[in-house]
Amino acid sequence: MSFDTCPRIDDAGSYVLRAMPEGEWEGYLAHIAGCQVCADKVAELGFVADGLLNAVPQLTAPPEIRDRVMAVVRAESELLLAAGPMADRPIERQSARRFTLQRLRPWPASVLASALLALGVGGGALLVGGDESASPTRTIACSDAPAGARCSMRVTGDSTRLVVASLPAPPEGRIYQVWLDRANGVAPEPTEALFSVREGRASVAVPGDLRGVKRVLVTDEPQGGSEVPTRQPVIVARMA
Amino acid sequence: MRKNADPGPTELRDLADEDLMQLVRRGEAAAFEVVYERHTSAAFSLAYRMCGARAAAEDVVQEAFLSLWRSGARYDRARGSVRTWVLGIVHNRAIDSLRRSVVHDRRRASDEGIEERFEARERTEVEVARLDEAAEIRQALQTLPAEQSRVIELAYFGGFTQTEIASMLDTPIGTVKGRMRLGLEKMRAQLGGLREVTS
Repeated sequence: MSFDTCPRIDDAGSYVLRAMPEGEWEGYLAHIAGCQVCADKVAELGFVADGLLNAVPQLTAPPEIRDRVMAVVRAESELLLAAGPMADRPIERQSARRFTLQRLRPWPASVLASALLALGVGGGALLVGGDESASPTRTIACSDAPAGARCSMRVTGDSTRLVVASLPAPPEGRIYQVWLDRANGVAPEPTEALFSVREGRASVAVPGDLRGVKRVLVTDEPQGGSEVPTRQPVIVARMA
Repeated sequence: MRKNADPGPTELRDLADEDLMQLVRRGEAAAFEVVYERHTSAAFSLAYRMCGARAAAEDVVQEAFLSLWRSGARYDRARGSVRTWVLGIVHNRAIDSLRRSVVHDRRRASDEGIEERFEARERTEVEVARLDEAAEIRQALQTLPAEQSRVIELAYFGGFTQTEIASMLDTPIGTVKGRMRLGLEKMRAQLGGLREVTS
């Protein structure tokens, strides 16, 4: 667009404040790609929005968060380093997406973080192959998975991992979530295992007590996960 | 890249965030710990401001940093500082948390009156500079007409959508969007040559 203004210019404020409903946000993102006026406005206002992130009363974080976070990080670091240099290779970026991101800086670095994060949630343990301990590994093939996808559960001692390959990425704005189904007449239990795939692959630790679990399920859910499944499972692994 | 270097804890603390992220993407937990230490209080402060409850803020910060750890390879210094990236993740997580909350209990942090218990003690020059910058931004926000600052705060710190804000304020949605843009434009003009403080 070559005009000095745009009828959608007011949307720029709502966009950088992340006040747009999801569908509208995506529509405006597409609009910006072809409207220099709005792209410039988003960049200008995004600077303020980023500044607002820091403009809150500063508190000291409780130390127990650090303990919890670093316990997970150290455990995953050991696995990642043991997997060798290929384990953390960067994803090949799609050129069209990259173009959009660069045009919209600085705000999209924040706005799109959740979408980018979705790609990385499984990344910590991605490509970690082989046994994770000296215990024998039992492999359970998934009974249901999307056509062309490969999926198995690998049980080593008390540790269980869901390993997938050739699995399509979850729909835009969604993320895969692992569920434990005890087939006891109540809804499956949610887990904190949220993941996407890197080049179709992921290796995800299945948390929680798996005793009595009949099936491990995977559904695609909104970012952050859900308390109850909102979609039919895309993966089913029968544990017993 | 520091392919063969294995910096110790002291050396790590001397590295800039962007250099630490090179190590984080290789899976080095010690480098991540330094990033965590530098930004966790800001992250917690933002999460607490938005969620209005300590437990929820802790969850948001924990999720955000684990996501950051697992997505370190996605950080691109060309698109902004590590701090902005971290806080952007926290902001997104907090909004997701608020919007999926069944109770929609969106009390603000000031409602609980526990800030003093966790009040941070800033120590470094960088932190002092950031405090100055934050004060300048808050000042810019406070000098806006009330109707403009209100929609900005409701959206950015309250996690409300423009539709929800329009309904709450009984105001046409176009007016809400216009107030957001005008308010941010005024703030941008006030902030003038402000530049982001980096580590």
